Amino acid sequence: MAWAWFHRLGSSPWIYRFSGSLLGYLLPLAMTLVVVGSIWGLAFSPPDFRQGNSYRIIYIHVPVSVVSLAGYYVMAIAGAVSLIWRLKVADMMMRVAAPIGAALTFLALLTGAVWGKPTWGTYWVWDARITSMVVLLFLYLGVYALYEAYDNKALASKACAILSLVGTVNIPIIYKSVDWWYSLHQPASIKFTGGSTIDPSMLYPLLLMIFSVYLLYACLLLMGLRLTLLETEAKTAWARKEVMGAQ
Amino acid sequence: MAGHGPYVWASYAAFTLVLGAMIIAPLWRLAALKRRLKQRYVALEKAQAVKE
Amino acid sequence: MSHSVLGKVVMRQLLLAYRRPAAVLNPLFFYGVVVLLMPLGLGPKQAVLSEFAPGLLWITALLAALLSAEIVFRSDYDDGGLEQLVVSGDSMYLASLGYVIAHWCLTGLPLALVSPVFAQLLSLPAQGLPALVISLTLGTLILSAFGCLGTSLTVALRRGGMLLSLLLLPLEVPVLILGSGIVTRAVNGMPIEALISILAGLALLAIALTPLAIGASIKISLEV
Repeated sequence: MAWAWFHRLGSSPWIYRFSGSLLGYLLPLAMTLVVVGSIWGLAFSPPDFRQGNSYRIIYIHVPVSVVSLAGYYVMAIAGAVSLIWRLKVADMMMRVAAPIGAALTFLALLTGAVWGKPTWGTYWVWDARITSMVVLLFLYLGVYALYEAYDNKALASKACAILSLVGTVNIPIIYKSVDWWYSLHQPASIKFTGGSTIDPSMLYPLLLMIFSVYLLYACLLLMGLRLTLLETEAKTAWARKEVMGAQ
Repeated sequence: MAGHGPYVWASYAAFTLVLGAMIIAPLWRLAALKRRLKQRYVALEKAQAVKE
Repeated sequence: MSHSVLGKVVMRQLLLAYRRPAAVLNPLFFYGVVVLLMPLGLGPKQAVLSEFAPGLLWITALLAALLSAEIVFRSDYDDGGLEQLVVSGDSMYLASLGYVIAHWCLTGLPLALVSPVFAQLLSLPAQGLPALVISLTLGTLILSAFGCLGTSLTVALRRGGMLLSLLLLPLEVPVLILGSGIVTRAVNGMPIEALISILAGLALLAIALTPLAIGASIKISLEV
């Protein structure tokens, strides 16, 4: 019975309709959870001993960073699936994941910089995490730029799949080497406060935020996928039915 | 919630703006695409009706 | 060995370079010019230059590798030789590996061997010299591998130059970090054997895996 699912993934109208109905309750859920998590983090969790209230930025920074890194793997796996099984939908998933991941990485860098000002006194600090994020941003931008550079979009997807896979193999190496680089040059005073011993009252809103940003990311992927599906297959019969039928 | 400082509010504002834009953009573009396609199909149907 | 496509490709690239030495010399000239710019930009103080020398030497190597990577498949793509290679039924993995090794022999290896001269210009302390040569030898192998990969993806595109840099530089970050780290540690008298082993391991990984991607990318570029 699993193969029925697999075959449905080759059917664009099924994907369009199924993701549409899924989004109907998934998107409001994700948005609600993000709002709930944010308010919990802003208002109902205690201030940090060392950083006071400015630590609350982690409720955005950490979830966004985690999802942006995971998003690269989503993009790479989608690319691999499209290369191996030639599934159109995997193609589109990869294409959609690139700008979303890049935006999330940018947001992670922005919030990281804003967090740096009250914590370390300057907006930009080349610490291991932020530096790795910058490299990740360029990896995303590279995939996006490569896709835009090819006129033939089918070939573009194949090229981007290869690039994403190369990036995937490289990411652990990059992260490890940036970690090591930072430990070489690290001024001793800077440490990530609230490391392993984080109080549950701070941890739970963080976990909720991570989960809800993941959920939101999935929704964004599906939304982009539906848009791309309809755009590429605008001239087919099922697209016509969708457009005309939706009064 | 006072004393959260401009930095916290700035981050949450950036977060809301970016994510809000990322949620609204595909929905808006999908609606615009459907509108455009509908116009095209209606025009096509009219042209066919005229032919017959 | 010379009967396999690997040997043939390497020999051919070396022969072509022998007929047009500019392909080998230009990256070295470029390296020299950039090394000249460093003291002009930073000031002639030896203390300053020698502090930054490991990083500067490595960054310049990265830029030189970027420039020299652009032309790897260009002429073969333009005159159809690349297509013949794909159609011939020979192993694209070995052919790609041949391109990588030839590129390294023509750009990275000469650079590594000549680097002590440039190191002197930037006042790199003498303890750093062997580390510089070894790290450049191994590192440029990785740079050549990634360079060929990037070029194979962009050779068919109209304005692939800038895109190539955008694609390659994030992937080359570990090489830069390790390479300049090795030289810095050697200058400070710290042991570097472990780091050199890691760099060597990465180099082996690079030449083992990138030809797979290069072969696939060449086929994609040929269909454009």
